[in-house]
Amino acid sequence: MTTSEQSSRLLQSILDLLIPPIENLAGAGGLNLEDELHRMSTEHSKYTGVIDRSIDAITRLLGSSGLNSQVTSEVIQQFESSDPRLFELLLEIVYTAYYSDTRVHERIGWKSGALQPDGHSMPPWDESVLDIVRKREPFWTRVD
Amino acid sequence: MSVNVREPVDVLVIGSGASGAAVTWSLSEAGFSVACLEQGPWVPPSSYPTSSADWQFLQQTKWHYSPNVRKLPADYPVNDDTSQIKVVMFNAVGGSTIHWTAHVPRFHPSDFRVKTLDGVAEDWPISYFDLEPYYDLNDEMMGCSGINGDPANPPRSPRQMPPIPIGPDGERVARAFDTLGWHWWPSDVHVNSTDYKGRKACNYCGPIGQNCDRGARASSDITYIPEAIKLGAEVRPNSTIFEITTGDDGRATGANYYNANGEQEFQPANAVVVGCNGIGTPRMLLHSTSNSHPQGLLNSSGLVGKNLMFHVYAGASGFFNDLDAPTYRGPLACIIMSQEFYETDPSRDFKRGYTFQMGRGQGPAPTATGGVSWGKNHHAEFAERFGKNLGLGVIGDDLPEEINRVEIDTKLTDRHGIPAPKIIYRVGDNSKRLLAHGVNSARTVLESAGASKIISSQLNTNTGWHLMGTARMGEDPARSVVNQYGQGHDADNVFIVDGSVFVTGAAVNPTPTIQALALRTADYIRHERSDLKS
Repeated sequence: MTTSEQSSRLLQSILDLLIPPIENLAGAGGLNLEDELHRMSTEHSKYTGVIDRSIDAITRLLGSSGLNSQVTSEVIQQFESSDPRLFELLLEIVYTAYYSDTRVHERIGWKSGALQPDGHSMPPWDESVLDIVRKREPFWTRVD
Repeated sequence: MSVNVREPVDVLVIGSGASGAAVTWSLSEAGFSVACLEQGPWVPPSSYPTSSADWQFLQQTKWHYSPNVRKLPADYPVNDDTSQIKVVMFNAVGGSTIHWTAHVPRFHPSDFRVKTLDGVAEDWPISYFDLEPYYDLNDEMMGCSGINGDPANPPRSPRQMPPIPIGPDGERVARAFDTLGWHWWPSDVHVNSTDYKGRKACNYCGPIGQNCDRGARASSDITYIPEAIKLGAEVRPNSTIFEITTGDDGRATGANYYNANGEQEFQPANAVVVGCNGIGTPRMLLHSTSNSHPQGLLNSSGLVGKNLMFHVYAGASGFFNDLDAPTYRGPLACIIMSQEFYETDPSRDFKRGYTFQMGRGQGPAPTATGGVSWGKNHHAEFAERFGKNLGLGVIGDDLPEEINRVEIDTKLTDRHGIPAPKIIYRVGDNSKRLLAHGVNSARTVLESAGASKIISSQLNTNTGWHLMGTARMGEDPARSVVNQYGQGHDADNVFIVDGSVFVTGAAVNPTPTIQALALRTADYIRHERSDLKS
């Protein structure tokens, strides 16, 4: 197995620990989000290097066996404690990728795609909701 | 280096956001020649995140509220390492109105008299009723949805459109306020509930701060600016002013700037109107040193940059198991507000008060990144919140303190090498007590509404979108930077029209007050300063 394949496998393990499988849907690792994470990392400087630096940091925490080791929740927690800013960015990019995925949308009942032009519908404005508060006397402070 | 000199104009307006756009329109209407220079570009409505399937990613990156994250070419960095509240803004034609939520409550009459009434800060040199006609004019230009009769505020002129429907979730929270005997009212918003002036009605897609190509949410690039251009104003995007120039008499002569190609140009003008808001304006004034203004333009009092106010924010969110519809349907924060605790009450341990602004749930990624934990509890926590959360934001009056300030950073610069602003700010003791009261009250409301679980924060930190107080108005030149018309005490042809001139911040979103002040300044120039017209 090449280093790249090992890194990829480690990333999948990390992703599955962050967002585990549920019902009939794979976890974030099993959804093959790597390409999407790569796109996000390269499209904006905010996320540049976040994935690689996170893998490096976790690999260091895994010790001498490095990429061959099994990552655990405890290791992720150590990473979170040791570099909270990087971990926050990792979590943000992973959550954004996962919750932008159409398979996830289907499971949670969210309509994929742009918000416009469809928007949402709402019941019309009904003035009777004000019946109680309208009975209150004005209470703003008068000044000269 | 040769510098291109542009044709002189009567009035140079710096910034095309909420205030600069309003002044540009008003002065153009009165026949002044006006050039409005804006450091940002035109933003085509088709590029707004809501038109993209990738909107959640865009919201986190190039449409982020913070210029330090966004890092677009028009953005300047802000060193807010020494500020408890982080700065947000947008730089484009339309300024931060490109990115606002368009919630437009007005100041109360008492906000202008806090020294007299409560013994804190300073009184304003004007009253609510001096501003009232300009609030009304601004509502007509921007288009206001709302309804008269709010007992927490003075009577008002009819709004242009009925309120945005508050929805079953809004009604749920409204009923809780009713049960407690506490005030609430449908929010006044610059969002169309019906078609208005060629712009379509809102279709309730949700994240209103991300804008839409329907034009349903007003922003100055689609309200004031097109009207100003029709009247002959020139709007010049991608123009980064780095210095307002002055003559031997100390009066402004124009401004030096970098054009879209990065070349230096000079725009001569009879008067300069600054509308870069509470961070950009002091940054520019402090840069603009000269023999007449060695401490920076209009800074003989030493108060330019001082008294920075943000509004302090906190809030509570409730999770509901029994709502009729998901809470992500409808404008995010244009629903209802409460001013039960707005005015000073001597029985409380803080002066002044706060507004509750109700908020809805958001799409899946913002819900998850809003605090859902990772690991084995992730899905349960997400399910508890998604489409089921409603919030009450506490917007607190942030009393001015001179130690809260904007300075010029000695190292950080923008892409042109212009020094960046540095923010020094800490939340005051009065604000802490106010927020604690607000959070407890918010929890009471959500409990009364039937929330199954409530979480709260004592201070929200990424909320520095209201930038106020750094060039305040007043009658005494030793204690203020501009007079009641925004006119500089130190230079009678320099006017400031943005949130910098606020004496106090009140406890409401500031944009309609900024725009009303800008229109009042423009009216003053129209009627009292015909000498500025060539």
